[in-house]
Amino acid sequence: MKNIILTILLMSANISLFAVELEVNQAATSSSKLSKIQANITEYETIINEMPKKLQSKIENFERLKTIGDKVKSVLSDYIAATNECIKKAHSKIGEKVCQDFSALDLGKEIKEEKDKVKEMIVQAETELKDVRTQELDLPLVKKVLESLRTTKKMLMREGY
Amino acid sequence: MKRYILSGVLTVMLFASTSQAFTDLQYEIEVETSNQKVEDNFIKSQILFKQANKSGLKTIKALKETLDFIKRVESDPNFRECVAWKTNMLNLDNLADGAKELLGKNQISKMEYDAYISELDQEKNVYLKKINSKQCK
Repeated sequence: MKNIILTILLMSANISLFAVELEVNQAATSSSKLSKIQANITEYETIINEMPKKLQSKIENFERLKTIGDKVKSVLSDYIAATNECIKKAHSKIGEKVCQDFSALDLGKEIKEEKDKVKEMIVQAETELKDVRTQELDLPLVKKVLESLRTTKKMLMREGY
Repeated sequence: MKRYILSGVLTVMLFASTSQAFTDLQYEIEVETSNQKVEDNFIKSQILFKQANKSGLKTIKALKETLDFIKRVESDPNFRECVAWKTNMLNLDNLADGAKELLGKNQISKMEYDAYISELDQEKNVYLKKINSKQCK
């Protein structure tokens, strides 16, 4: 009889020990889940909070590219006007010197380089704009996921983890 | 003795619950502030996305126009001539502005100014005629 009672007592003690262990494991799992959720929340909050700064810099870059393009056009127009004057022939010695110096410059090569530069700038602006558009599509999604993560976190915290 | 122990225990419990409530409140405030910051930056981003789109399209259009301009300048002598005339006309306008400034500072007389402007106008008319005759676009 004593042996039976002792066995039952030992068994129940073992069961309760197992239950405690299970609870501790569950708490540890939930706690790690919570810290993972928090890490994601921080990551997504950072993405949204840094977006205005990123966009501002993109706008500034667009403006910079446009200014360079305008400048290329204006410099090229001045060059053409000067060439035209020199073709008409200079009137004095200083005029002759100026036109000689001008024709000695390899401006044709410069124009070709400027053309390549403008082409590169177009590609750059198009890539940047594409990037803006994809981020514009994704940002509401990031916000929705963030809200969902916050709700999950709140729920887990209410449960006492 | 029992009463002292009881009041001690009650004080500790009260302190513990107040402290917990305070921590909870502090956490709620922190979360609320962080949420508000995210909300503000999200709205700000929506406005900036529109601006960035507009600015990007404007830049691409301007750059493509510049590229077309360079290509035409390279291949079309008539266009090159038109560009030269138009640039000269712009330069004449700049000269007129400079003369106006000098007149404002009383560095030239009204008579000198008028004579110079009329010269510039004559020159401008020559370029205008050329531009119209070649149908510069």
